[in-house]
Amino acid sequence: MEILRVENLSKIYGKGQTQVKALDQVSFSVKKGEFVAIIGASGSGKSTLMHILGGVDRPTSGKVFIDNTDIYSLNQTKLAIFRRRQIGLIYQFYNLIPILNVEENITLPLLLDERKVDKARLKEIVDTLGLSDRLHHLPNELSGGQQQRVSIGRALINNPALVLADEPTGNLDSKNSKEIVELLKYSNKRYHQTLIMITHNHEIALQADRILTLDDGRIVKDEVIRS
Amino acid sequence: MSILKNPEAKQLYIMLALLTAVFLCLAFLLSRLELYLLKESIVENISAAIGAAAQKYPEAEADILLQLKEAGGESINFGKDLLKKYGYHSDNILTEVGSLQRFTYINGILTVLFSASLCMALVIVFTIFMKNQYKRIREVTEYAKLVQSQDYTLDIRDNSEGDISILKNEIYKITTLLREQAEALRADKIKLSDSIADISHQLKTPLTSLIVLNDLLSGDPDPQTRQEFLHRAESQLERMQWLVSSLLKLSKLEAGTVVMKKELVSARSLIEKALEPLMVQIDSKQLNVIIGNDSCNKTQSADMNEINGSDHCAVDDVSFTGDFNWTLEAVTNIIKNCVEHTPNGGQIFISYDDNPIYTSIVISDNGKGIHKSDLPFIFQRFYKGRNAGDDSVGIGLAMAKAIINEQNGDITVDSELGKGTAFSIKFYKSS
Repeated sequence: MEILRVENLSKIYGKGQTQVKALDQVSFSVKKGEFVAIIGASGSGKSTLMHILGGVDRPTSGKVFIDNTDIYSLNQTKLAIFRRRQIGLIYQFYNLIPILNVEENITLPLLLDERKVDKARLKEIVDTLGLSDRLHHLPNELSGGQQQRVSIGRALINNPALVLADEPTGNLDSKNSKEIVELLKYSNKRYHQTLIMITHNHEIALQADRILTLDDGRIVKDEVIRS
Repeated sequence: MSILKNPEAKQLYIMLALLTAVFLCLAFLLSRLELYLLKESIVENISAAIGAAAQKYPEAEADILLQLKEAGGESINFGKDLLKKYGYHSDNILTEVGSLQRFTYINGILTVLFSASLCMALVIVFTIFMKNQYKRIREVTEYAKLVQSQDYTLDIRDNSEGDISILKNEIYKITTLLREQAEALRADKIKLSDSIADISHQLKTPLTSLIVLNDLLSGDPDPQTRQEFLHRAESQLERMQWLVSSLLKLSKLEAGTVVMKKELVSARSLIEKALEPLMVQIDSKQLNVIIGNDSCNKTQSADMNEINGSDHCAVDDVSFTGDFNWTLEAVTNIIKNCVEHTPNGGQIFISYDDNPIYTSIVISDNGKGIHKSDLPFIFQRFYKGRNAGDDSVGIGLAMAKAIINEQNGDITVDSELGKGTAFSIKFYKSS
């Protein structure tokens, strides 16, 4: 079942001679439950692609269909709500809300929708991430690895169609990096959660089922490693 | 306020606020009107009374006008007593005095009109609101009906704030789930028919051999040839027996009808037991088998305990919850695969480790390795890679994967041609 389809996506900055093509006619699709890694050198367009997939930056041309919705045909408000409900985002620098504790940070998407939190699901996610004894801590009382785990919880709590992780291990040491990638893989397998991860680290990319290589704003390789 | 996040509720409250403003204005205007009418009546009455008195008694003019400016207590009482004498008191003054009568009548009508229109306005506003709500609920019901008749094409999500939008979102998720299930069912059916085709294909080969052998035997050959044929037939029968029981096991596993025990399994004893039936092959190929923990150094084999030709690192054992016998079979199949694809004198390294998320067992060799194009498929039933021996049927790894998956685990493979292969088994800890 196709959960993401990108059609002729382009992002161009500037005009004429000084024009920069961050993304050039990128097209690909991802099935539900796939774990895809996107690798590429600095400036290859990975972050640009991620921002456009996450609905935080508009493309110059082309379409992005997430779960059959053309997300750039929605207005700002509806796109924000769509993003809240359907997309989970994990960043390199965690981006937790400093005045909310762990439990509140994780349930933030639900709180924004003013919905009641499903206690069972929260407990399951919190147990899986190993955060059960830190539910009421503030982000500044947690280590880097723990903060990233909270971000993962926040990305998963709403059962989004798509989880986008932008260099999730970029700010962590190798032991924590391994653990975070394992947690992402586990949630991918367990919740059938589609996961797209950007990384510049080949070893980490090899943990995925499929690797897309970007260079100069184009996809130069699309390889399935395991099915 | 959580009600106000619903745009329909916001609209309603705005309407009510508008209504309140409008009716407040109206009430103000109405009271001004009534005040005017009352004033007119009183002026009429006072003027008439003063006029009549002053006309007859001009000398009383000054006294009367004095009272107009400020009513004196003595005059008030005299006046009231006088009125009482004629039957007028505060109770019936509104209905007996002509102009006041008219005023009372008008006042009554206006009050009723005002209240009635306020009520009507409220009823209209609330009716419109309710109608809209029920219309939205009907929309969702229609959608649910469509989904029931398996029409999954409509996307009812509207990405708005509010509880009804959230409801639509959740129902859409259910639709997606149903669609996935339908697809999975179809895929299962295809898988089933494929596996039946595979099985009959696999059985055809030994069956054909047996038919030929039977034919040859009925030709009544000499005892020596007959022995040879019987011997061949026996091995084909054994093969078929093994095939049938393996396939049965595999089918049960894939259908999820096998009950796995939940006991504490020691990785170390599992690995040691798995190696037992393979020792003959390991010895004959002179393979070096090292068992240890991840942190164990491969070159430490010199001063370790030697049991059955394999080396141990003196490290802590690791346990997980699972079924010993079934997992034994899986691990044996994997080690067997490594043993078969590692050349003489090669090395097999089996390590195990434990972390908060899972327990892992890694079995690696430095043998031929698996080609990149084969890697995504080697756990498929009957898949034979480029380097597979002619005798192997391709069930071992598929069986191992099914067994591990049944126990909340996963198996992945990493390999490089010419360098070696590593199988990683993970048993996840949460249920």
